[in-house]
Amino acid sequence: MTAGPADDVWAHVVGQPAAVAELRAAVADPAVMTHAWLFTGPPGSGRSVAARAFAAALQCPTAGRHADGGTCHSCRTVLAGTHADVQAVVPEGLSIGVAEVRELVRIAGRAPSQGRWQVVLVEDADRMTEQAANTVLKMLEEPPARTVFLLCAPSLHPDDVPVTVRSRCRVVTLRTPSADAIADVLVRRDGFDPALAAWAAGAAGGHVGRARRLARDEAARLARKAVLDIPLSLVSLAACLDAADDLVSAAQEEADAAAAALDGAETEAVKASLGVGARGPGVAAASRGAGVLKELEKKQKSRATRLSRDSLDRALVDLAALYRDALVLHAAGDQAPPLAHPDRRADAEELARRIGAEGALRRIDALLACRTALEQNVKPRVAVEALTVALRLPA
Amino acid sequence: MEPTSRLRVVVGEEELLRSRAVAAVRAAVLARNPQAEVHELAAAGLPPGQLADVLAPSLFGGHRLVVVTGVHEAAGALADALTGYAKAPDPDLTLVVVHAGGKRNEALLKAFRAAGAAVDECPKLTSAGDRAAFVRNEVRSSGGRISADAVAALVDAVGADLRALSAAAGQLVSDFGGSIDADAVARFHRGQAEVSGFTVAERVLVGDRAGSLEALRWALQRGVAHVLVADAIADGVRTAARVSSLASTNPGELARVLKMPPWKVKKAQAQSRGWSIEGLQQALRVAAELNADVKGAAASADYALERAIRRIVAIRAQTGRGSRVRSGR
Repeated sequence: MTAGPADDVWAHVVGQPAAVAELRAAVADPAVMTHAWLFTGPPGSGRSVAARAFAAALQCPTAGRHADGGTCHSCRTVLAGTHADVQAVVPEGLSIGVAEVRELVRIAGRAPSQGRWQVVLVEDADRMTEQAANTVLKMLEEPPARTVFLLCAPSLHPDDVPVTVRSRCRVVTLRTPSADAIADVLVRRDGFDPALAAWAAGAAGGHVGRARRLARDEAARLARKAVLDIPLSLVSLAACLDAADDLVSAAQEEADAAAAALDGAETEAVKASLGVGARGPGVAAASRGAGVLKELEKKQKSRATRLSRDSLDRALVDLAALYRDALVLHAAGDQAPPLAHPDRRADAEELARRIGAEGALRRIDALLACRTALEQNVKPRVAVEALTVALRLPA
Repeated sequence: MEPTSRLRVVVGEEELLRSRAVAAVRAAVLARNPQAEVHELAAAGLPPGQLADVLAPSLFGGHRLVVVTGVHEAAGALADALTGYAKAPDPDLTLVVVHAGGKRNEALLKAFRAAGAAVDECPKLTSAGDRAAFVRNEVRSSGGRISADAVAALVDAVGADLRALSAAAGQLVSDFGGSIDADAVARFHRGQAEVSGFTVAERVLVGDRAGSLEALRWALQRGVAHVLVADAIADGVRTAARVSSLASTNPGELARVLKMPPWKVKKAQAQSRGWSIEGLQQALRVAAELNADVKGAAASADYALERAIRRIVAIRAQTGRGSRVRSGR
């Protein structure tokens, strides 16, 4: 971590010295500033965190440098997502639609009201539909003078970002932060015990948010253990089907829990604003807002689907990493590079012994195929059952 | 038996049977009292005052028949008025309430039953056997006879709609002068009216290539969505896999462990005969690919379904438990 305590806007950007230097230079010197930026990097590398920090530095009167280690009003509001001149799109559902983006473009056309820039931040720009991307493209082609676009996407692949958008953006590439950098920030910022922080950083595969969750949440640790216990348990068809069942229902439970926490309150809030259940004159004439509620329901359903898919995807990535460890150990033995799951070395060795390099590769392929299938809307249960059967250990 | 009770409830989902029950009551009432007044009212939106009007004693005496249809849609006040009447029925009035089944206004039905109302149950005929019995009955009541294969062919071709079945049966009796056989049915009715994804899946799992492809074509012809067929196949394969992956063969125990209804377990057990574990594993993979294909991964969902069916049948034939016996012969 190169950012000192004086640069506290950047303090949350973990292990990205090169990117931070580039962004800082752009803030300091208007001549190297660009109107559109594209942040790419693997999941968990902190794309949106970096983009937000950049937005804060752009808006801050002192360019994000606060010698006393504190923050100013502008930085605080940007980081909290309440700054009037920073419009953030954080998709909770499966995609960012064209209607949402059109609204965004309308706002992007305004002059900044208090800050120095009008900042438009799109997290998960890869979730934009084709139409939405084209709408953004029009804005990128003729940008208003004081507007900055910050887009975040996992990669520059045309599946993620259309080439037309990509070619009009300056790309900031984030790398997977090292386990040391993650452990360091967990200890320094979140105050975790160093041993726990080191374990979580090693187990999270370079994902800062996941490392923090593993360090903080016992349930997350148990869920990870349950997933990583799967490969060695797949000795029969019944075990495969049970494992698939567990994976899918765990994902479903997670989505349900989130839905239970959010949906009811949201619906109540919307109903209250529509005046449902109110008494007094004029109530009967007021519209019941069925359309609004339906829209909300649709949004909630989309969010639930995404949550359960994300949870399943996390499990699949963890599994793939374990087979990768087996592959690495099979090939390199004791000189193996750092493992993705250092705490499951014994499991990986056992797997390497039983399925060999070819078996490990085949199983990684099956995992990737399953992720693709889930993206194509295949029923999770069907896709995961086919997967666990493909992962079954040889007799 | 002649319907003579003065309070009657006609309840059930089957519209044809309900209207027949009402017609039978009407005929019986009119037979006994040719001068009877007949009132037929729909409960939805009926003001209780209007009901009171027809229930009140007539100035000129004489018997009255009041039929209130759709009481499941009755408003609270109307339901209360009906319940109130049931407690003190008029001896010169026959009241028939018609309820389309379900939970709505169940209390009303209970009150009528408690008051000693005669009940005509008109449940939906769900099983094929019931439908066949219905057809036989129809034919007999219009004075004809029908052979067993003709019944099966007619139910297959016409489907579950009782009105259509009844009309077809009546027509056949009048066309063929009483005796109906399979050829007679085939002259006017052919095809499969009720093909769902599950029909296809059943035939796929027992390894019937021609039958499953035929069922598939019928299903697609009838507009069954590709996704539903694919889901049914996937469900069939995974249920068979579930059932045969466990050591137990006791249906009750399997039903408990797998949290499935016993009939489904029994069906899956029958279907999983002839499958090997290896074959089921391969079939699970095909089903997953098919699921992606019908959701847009394949250029033609029709072809994807047909190909998957052929593959699953071939897998069963190659890896199945019976295959080695056959090849050894």
